[in-house]
Amino acid sequence: MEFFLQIIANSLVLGTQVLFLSLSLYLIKAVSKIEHVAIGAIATACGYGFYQGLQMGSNIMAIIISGLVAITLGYISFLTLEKFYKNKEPLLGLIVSLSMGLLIEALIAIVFKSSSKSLIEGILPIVEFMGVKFTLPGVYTLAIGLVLALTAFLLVNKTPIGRTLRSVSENSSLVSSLGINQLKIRKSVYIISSIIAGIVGVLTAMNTSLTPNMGFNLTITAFIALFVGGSSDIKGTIVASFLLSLIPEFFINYAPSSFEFTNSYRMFFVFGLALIILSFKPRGIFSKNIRQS
Amino acid sequence: MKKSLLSILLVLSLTACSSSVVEDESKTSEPVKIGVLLPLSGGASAYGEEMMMVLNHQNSNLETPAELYFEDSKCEAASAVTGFQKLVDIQGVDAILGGFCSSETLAIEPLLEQNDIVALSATSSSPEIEGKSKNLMTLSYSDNVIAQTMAEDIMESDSIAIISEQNDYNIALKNSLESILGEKIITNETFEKNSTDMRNIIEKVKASNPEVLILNPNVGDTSINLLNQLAESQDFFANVRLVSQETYVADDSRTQAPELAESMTLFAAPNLTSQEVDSFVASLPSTIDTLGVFYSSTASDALENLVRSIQDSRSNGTSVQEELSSNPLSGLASSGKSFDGNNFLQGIKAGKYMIVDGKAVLQ
Repeated sequence: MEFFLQIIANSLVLGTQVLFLSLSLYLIKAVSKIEHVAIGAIATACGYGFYQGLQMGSNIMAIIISGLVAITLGYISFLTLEKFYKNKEPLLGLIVSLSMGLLIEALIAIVFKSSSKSLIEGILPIVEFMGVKFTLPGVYTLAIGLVLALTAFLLVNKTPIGRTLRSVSENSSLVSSLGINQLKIRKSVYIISSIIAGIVGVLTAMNTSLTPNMGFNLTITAFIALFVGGSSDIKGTIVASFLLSLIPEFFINYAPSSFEFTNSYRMFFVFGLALIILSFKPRGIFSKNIRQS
Repeated sequence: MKKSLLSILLVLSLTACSSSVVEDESKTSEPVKIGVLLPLSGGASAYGEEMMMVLNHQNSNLETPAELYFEDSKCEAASAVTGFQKLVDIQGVDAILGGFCSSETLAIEPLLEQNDIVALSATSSSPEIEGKSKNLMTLSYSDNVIAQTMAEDIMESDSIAIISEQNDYNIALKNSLESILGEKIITNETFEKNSTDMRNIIEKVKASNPEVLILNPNVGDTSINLLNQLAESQDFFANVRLVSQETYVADDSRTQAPELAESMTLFAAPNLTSQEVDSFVASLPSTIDTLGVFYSSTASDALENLVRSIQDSRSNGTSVQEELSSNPLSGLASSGKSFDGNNFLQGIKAGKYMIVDGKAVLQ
């Protein structure tokens, strides 16, 4: 039982890390119809910003630098991808975003070298709850993730802000006629999403270590979670982020030993699950089947 | 007419002879060009940088220094192949010193015979190297030697767990251990290169409650992460015997979890103790804490023997491969040893170390 609970706890932390990025992807897609996959690299850059601040000997400096990195890269993302929204070229936007992500990773590797960096030296502080152990950064990840998921869900589904966000990309002329500055909204969403990614970048780096390509696997899982959940359904995105983290772990840890599933199979199960779910529910796990006339 | 024809033929043949002599002389007087494949970036870059320092130092001590061309192989097969092609096609090197990691060495192996070039590795130890191209040789011990020595030491335990990184070197060692230890292995986990979170793997190992845990990550970041995350369950692993290989010999790899690493048993490169080795280490311009004495010595030996073989092959008209494989080698770790037609240098044995007061002490 302890093993079962510990696996769930570890997978929940992993799922929450994915959730941060999938929410960032969701928000940007909601206002610009572009999958901004560079968000993982932005998360990593913020982690390195935090590391640089710590090297300067101050936690406050670490927070300021990582925050500045998030805001700057969020703004650059907006400037870079806005024209692809205006020209209605989301696929080209995705390719440009991918290039931007790889560029950021390469730049990090050049500046900081590719060897890993630790934000917390030595063994991480452990918090025990009902026999289950969590690392302290893991607890922060879960707590902030829970608040973030609830806030985002309520904001998007239950407030006028959510309706405005959705309408910015769906009916931009109507939004403009209502006197809403949609450019400002998109710019703000890019920056807020980068800050969300930055938070998970720092927390993930604290929980493990910083490497230039740290955000890559998380982005892939978050990207798939966005589609498995339904790219316009925030509830689906949240649930899919956890499903794609929990289910592979259960296959790996509970399949008969003759299958010899190891951690290396993780992405195999993630893609396998996505394939199965999207085959039956191409619009996301909570979508209703619509009969085509 | 006959006389003039004969004199023309004589002049022509003399010219031909003299030009071939000039050509041979110019070839023998040309400096030897050695292409070196090293991980100069990525998790194993600390090893690559130290080995680069050792090679430059040793090269300056040679009677006729070689021209060294370095390429960053990143401890990755694809980068090693790219580096190899640059060294051979652009720099026109006479031989390759490398690869460093076994994955690099195995990746360049198919290219050696088609480019008619020899590669001598100072460090690659995958047993898969044995039986490959005759143009490929390594001065390292084989991982089979490590696996055999390690297995003999833990054979009395009935429940053994292994955590391995997924790459050529670690999987080869894991396979060797599996074939020797058989059903004594109760948990056998692998993780991908560049993994950062191994906590679920560790939970699986804990659930199997092993007497011995073999840690089999590659050098670099993953080994540090693995040990740190094991240390989060310090209470549990304090009662499990930890065994590992070369990865944890370097002090840097254990500094973040010193308590857990204490008493860990390591099976790695043999310890070299001689006045010659000591004075070589003392003469180096900087420390070799990561690379260690054995591999610094094999690096120096690889350069010395490659340069000598290339020079000998030029003057004897033989191939570099023949010179290297048929003659006893010289140097610090390889002195008097030979390949005897094998890919591995014969007669190298494993060393057993234990971590005592934070240092790897030879047993």
